Amino acid sequence: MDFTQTGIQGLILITPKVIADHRGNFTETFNQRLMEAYGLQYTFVQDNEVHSIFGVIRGLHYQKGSAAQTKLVRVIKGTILDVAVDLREGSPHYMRAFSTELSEANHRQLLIPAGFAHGYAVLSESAVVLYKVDNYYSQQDEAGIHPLDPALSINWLLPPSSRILSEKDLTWPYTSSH
Amino acid sequence: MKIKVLVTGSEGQLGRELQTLAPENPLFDFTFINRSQWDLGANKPLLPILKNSATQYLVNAAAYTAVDAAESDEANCFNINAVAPGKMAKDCKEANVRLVQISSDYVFSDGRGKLIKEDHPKLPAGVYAKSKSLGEDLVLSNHPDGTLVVRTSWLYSSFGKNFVKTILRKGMEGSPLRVVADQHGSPTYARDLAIAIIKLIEVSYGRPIRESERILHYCNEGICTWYDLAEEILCYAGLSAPLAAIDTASLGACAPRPLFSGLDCSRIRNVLGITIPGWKDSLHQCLDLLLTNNEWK
Repeated sequence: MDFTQTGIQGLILITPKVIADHRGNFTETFNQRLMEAYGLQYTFVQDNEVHSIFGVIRGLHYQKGSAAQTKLVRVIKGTILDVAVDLREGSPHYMRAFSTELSEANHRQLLIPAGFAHGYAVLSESAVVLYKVDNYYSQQDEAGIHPLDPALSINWLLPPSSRILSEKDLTWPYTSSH
Repeated sequence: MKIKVLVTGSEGQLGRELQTLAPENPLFDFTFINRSQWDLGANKPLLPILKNSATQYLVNAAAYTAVDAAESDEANCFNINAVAPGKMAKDCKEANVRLVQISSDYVFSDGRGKLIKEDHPKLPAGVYAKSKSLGEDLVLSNHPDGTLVVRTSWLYSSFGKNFVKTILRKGMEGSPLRVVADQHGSPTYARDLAIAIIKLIEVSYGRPIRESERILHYCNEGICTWYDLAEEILCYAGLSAPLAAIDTASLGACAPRPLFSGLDCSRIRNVLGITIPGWKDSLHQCLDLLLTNNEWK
């Protein structure tokens, strides 16, 4: 299992080893001890599974205050563009967006610490995203940023005619109002 | 027993990638022929070659791909992309050889944001697009039970001339770049396509080809514009050449281009049981090769 720092402090790419043979392959997708050895101390308490079709953009989501969640995101079907926006005040990367391809083919995972907003775009015909969180879902603490906020200039790699967003995600405020 | 595969267009991007992969695939016995050995457009019979070599699969990776030049070179383009493959299919039928015909996203000109499935009605616009479309029709009607048509898009590799190498070279020179930002499609690394074609031969070998798998789409996952692609190339290579976004109209190219040609590849994924790499991952792989071997010049 490889841990790679991204350009943003705390945001880490994890690439598990895939052992393949004529039957298929085997991958250890999560290992608490290895995470801790790398200095990543989290207790994940909930797993979520999301199925989406091509063109779907979900995000940019976070939970406020003590309900904030660290997320460990991976893809078991298709390809997504995974995006994390640094909302940690005082961070040298404050309001900067990081994006990377996570896919069934590359087995890559993105560890997104509390203090980030998270979203993704589905680039394949469909995608299944799995993620662990270290804090329970809390409806009253749900918050978000408009995924098409021009100030973040996120390139979702989907033409406007392909994009599918929920009503709710379109009502999140722009960062100028944060 | 090895599967005997003959590949035309051995000097093209796909041909070169298949040559690179041949040593890693001991189950196959590849023979590669280039234009000087057998010219697709010259109307020479292929039947003796197929019979003498005991070929089981013919991969036609030869094509007329100069999209703009085709507009004023119609006869030649149609001969190479349609008439010759049509004859090839007849010869294949006679010699009991499977034909893998490579085709293009250009057969669709009316894509509007949704990924395009294999059975979407074709609407080729321009000489090149029409020649590729007719080529598909001819091979499928001349050898219906033994033909596999694989449509791909925005092909690049570390070989030959292609968009990725051009942008990398110009970026290295620091030349200002103007790149189209209103055409959407899927860049495809010819290496990935070659891997899929080898797998397709392996999977279809010795069993009938189902009607539902005669046409298959293969491209890397995800869509982008040529501008996004150029930006990713420069960014990954750490280059800061000025990059300007322009629209198709201001480019003034002769041939029409599809504005959206994202292909739905779920069929080939299911038939072959493969995962398809995202376009950025594959682009990075190709760039690693180009940058390490200094092959961008």
